[in-house]
Amino acid sequence: MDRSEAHQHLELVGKILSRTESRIEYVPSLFIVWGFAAAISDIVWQVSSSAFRAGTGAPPSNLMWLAGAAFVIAVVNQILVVRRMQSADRRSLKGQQIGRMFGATFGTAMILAYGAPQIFHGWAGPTMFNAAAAIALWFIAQQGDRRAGVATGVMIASILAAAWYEPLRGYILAAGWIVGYAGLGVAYAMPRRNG
Amino acid sequence: MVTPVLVLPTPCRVAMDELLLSKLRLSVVAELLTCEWATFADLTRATGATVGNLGAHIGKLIEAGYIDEEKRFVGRRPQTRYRLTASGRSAFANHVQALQKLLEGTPSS
Repeated sequence: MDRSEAHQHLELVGKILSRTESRIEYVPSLFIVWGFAAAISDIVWQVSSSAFRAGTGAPPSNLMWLAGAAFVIAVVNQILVVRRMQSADRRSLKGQQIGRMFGATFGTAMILAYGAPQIFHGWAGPTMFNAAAAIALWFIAQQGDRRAGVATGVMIASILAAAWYEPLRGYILAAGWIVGYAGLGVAYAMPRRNG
Repeated sequence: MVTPVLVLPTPCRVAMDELLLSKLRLSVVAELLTCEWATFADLTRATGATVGNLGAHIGKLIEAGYIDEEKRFVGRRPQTRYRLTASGRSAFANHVQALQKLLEGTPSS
C-alpha cells in the first residue's frame, strides 16, 4: 500500500465515522408524550394540594382519570417505541448509552420518590422528576445537542421558579415539562417534517 | 486467533491488517464501530455493495473473529445482524494507527 492509498482509506474511515457518529435517532413522541403526562400529573398534584388546603375535598375525579390515562398512554407508547427500535436496521452505541442513562436517572427518581416518602414528601417527589429530566437532558446536550442544553436550562429554571412561587408550584413544574421536555420532542420532530 | 499482517518494505515498514486492506471490509468495520449492531440490509445501503459481494466479505470478517453474526426473525421476516467484536475493534484501531504512521512516514515498532 502506498501513501495515497493510505490517505484514501483514512479519508473513507473519517467520512463513515463522521456520518455514523452524528446519526443518533431521537424519538420525538417519547419526549412529547412523557412531557405532557408528567405535566398533567403535576397539575393534578397542584389541584389536589390546593383543594386540600382550601378544605374543599378531593380534586374532580375526571382530572384523576386524565392523569391516569396520560400515564397509561405514555407507557404504551414507550413499549411500542422500544419494540420498533429492537427490530430497526441499526442501533447506535450512543443511542444505547442515552437509553441506559434515561432508564437509570428516571428509575432512581421513581424508586426514591415512591420508596422513600418519609424523606421526599410533599413537592419533593414531583420536583425530583424535573431534576431527573434535567440530568438526562444534560447528557444529550453533552453529545453536542444545543437544543437539549436549552431544555436542561428550562427544567432547572422550572425547579428554581417553583421553589419561590409556592401557590403555583405544580403549574410551574408542569410548564417545565411542557416547554423543556415536550418542547424538545417537538424540536426533534421539526427537521423530519421539513426534510 | 492469528491476525494476518502485511509488512511493507522499508522505509514504510508498517504492520497492516491484511483483512482490512480491502476498502469494503474496512467500510463494514467502520460502519459497525459506532453501532451496537447493524443489519445486512443497513450495511448494503451504507456501503453500496452488491448483496453477493458484501456477503463474501462479511464472511471473511466473521471467520477472522472481527464481527459476530446473529440470525433472527422480526415478525415473520428473517433478519441478519452484525456487531463488532473486541478483537475487531482492536484490529481496526491498530490498522488505522498503521495507516497514519504510513502517512507520517515513521516506521512502526
